[in-house]
Amino acid sequence: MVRQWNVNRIGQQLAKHWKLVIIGILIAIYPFIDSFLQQISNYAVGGYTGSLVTVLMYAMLALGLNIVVGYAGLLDLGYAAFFAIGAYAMTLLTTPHPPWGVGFPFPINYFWIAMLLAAMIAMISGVVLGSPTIPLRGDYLAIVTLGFGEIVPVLFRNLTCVTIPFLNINCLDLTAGERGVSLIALPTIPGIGTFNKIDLAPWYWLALLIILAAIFFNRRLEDSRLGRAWMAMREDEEAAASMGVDIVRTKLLAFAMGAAFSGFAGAYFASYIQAVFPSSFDFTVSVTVLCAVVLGGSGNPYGAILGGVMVAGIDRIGLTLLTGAAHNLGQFIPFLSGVDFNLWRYGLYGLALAIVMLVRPEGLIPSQARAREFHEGEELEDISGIAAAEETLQREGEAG
Amino acid sequence: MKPKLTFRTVAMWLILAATALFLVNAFLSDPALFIQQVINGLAQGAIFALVALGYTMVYGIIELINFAHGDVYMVGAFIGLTIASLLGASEKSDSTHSIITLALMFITAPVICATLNVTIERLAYRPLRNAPRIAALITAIGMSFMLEQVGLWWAGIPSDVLSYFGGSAATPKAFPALIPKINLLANTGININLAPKQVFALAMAIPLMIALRLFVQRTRLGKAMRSTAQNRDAARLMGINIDGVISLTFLLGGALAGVGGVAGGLYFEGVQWNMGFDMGLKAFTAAVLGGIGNITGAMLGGFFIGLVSALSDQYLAGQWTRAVVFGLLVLVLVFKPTGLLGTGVQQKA
Repeated sequence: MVRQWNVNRIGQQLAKHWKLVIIGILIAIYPFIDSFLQQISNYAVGGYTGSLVTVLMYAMLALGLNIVVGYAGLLDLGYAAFFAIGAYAMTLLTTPHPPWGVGFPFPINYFWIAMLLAAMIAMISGVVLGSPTIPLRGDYLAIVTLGFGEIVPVLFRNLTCVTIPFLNINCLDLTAGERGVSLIALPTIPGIGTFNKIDLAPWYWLALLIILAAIFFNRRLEDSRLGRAWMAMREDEEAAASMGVDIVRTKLLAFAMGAAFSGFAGAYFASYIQAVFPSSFDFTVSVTVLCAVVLGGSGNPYGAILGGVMVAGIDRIGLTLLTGAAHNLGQFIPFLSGVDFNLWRYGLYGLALAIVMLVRPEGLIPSQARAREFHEGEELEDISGIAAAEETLQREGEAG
Repeated sequence: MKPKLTFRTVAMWLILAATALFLVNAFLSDPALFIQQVINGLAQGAIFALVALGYTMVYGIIELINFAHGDVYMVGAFIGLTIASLLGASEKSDSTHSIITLALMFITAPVICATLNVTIERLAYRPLRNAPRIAALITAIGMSFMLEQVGLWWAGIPSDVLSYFGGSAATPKAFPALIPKINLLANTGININLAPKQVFALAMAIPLMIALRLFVQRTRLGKAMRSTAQNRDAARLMGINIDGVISLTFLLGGALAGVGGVAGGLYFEGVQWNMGFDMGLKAFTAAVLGGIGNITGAMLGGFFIGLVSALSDQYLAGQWTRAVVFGLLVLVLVFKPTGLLGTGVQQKA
């Protein structure tokens, strides 16, 4: 049924969620707030737009991994592999100075096509790397993906002299190894201009746009036939298979979709950083994104965003702010004046992970269905499922 | 039953045949070099095996990939380094001095690491024992990061131990070579270098592994461990103190990681705050290769990974070793998900 777009109804919804609307507007105009802060504080505060772009990138990655881990329940410890593939695809497709010499002859405004191509290449590699893992489950799957996550950066590091005798290719440098590749296409909007590395606000808005699109996809997938198949598979693979869910197809689609998101983020990252190195895609990235998804609440796109923003935001902005605060307090407590919390990064991060998991094993804002599963034993009085049924009815009433 | 000739089995045998051919060729072209690499591989494999045992025991009993285990190994190496510098031992120390230092290292490091591992289990993993497994996994990653932070602060030298507020100690530190660097086969006419540290690593690890295996197979506590691993609830109903058994598992694993840490420091002649991560990955790979939960499997897996690394370093290229090790892991899991020695244990989702 086609949904009726009723202006009155939209107005009501906006009024009902006015807090969210205000937060949304604040997020959208943040670059202006940032420059305003910088001006009134004489550049003591502000200048976080660049860090926020990185934070948003982690949110993008978390949204992608949310499909694999959150919806389909496939524990992926090598998600950085697809991020790397997307970034390298973007780089090698658009740089005028690829390691092998002459770049591909493409028009200036090539960024968007390359981004789609990068996502597609990542998606294909998701299927390729996903296919051997089809019969595996749980921790075995996690270990194989971890293996792939370790192998892919090694490939990018070492494919500097490829010789294929049959094709008459002799010592072709594919990836430039540890030296990395730079000069990557910048996003261009026809009639407006090209992005640059001085004004970071357009990057910020582009990241926000990608995230909005990713949320939209996540939500649509969640309610789709495929999304329901993922969740059925997550809960019980045998039961799902016997109910007619094609496990192979469903699993591969989860890997492919997750990888495509990651490839998107990788392409964006490559263009934003303007240089790629194999060391940017190690296990830490995979673990950070996984922590973001689980911390925020597995299976809930908003949870994934919250987790990504927290995990990366604390690292990029939080620790610096905390150090500044400690130094200010150092006037009263001499002990604090020499503290640099950036050096405490690992300890604080680890502590935060452990505490969140011990206090809320289901994550900060889990999806409602998952939250119930996590507290199964505690809801013994609700054997008949009356409360759950009521809740569903109520939600349906609201939606329809 | 006659095994079916599927693509899978054909591919497996082809890969095995190619590897065998490659190895035979390598041996025939230069036997001394090949045996040298085998010795190197077995010696470092002994250290991998010591760490792998901790992974496999913990996984066997609570099905947790204990990400912090590699970092317990790192802490063990740092304890060894600290004792060496406290006692002022170095390459130039006389043999009595070195032996006392070594003895103290091999007593202190396992004790502290075992305590550390048990504490981590008590504080971080026990409250999550009935929570979804991914929550415990993330907590283990958190613990790993916290231990790495300890390694970052820990300069290894007493005067620097408390200097963490100003800076970090991220640079790799040299581990004093307390075992003389000579060639045991120098005067035999064989063109192979057998260093005392290699003999030492093997002599340290193999008795410990035999002891562990005897403990698990022959004693009452070992039986309790095995039954807890098999079925925790049934074991509890039989009157086994589950918490105690799990603590014991972490204690043994931690102690072995401590021994492994000191042995690894002596063998690789250096310590670094993030050395636990790489060792953890390799040791875990070893545990999975051998069949996770299987103690003998972890030992063999450790030696196997050591051998593969050494041979790949020699015959392929050092920079590809990582890919070879993980490629092997992927292949084994795809073709034989239960590992080399694993029984047909049902995969738990």
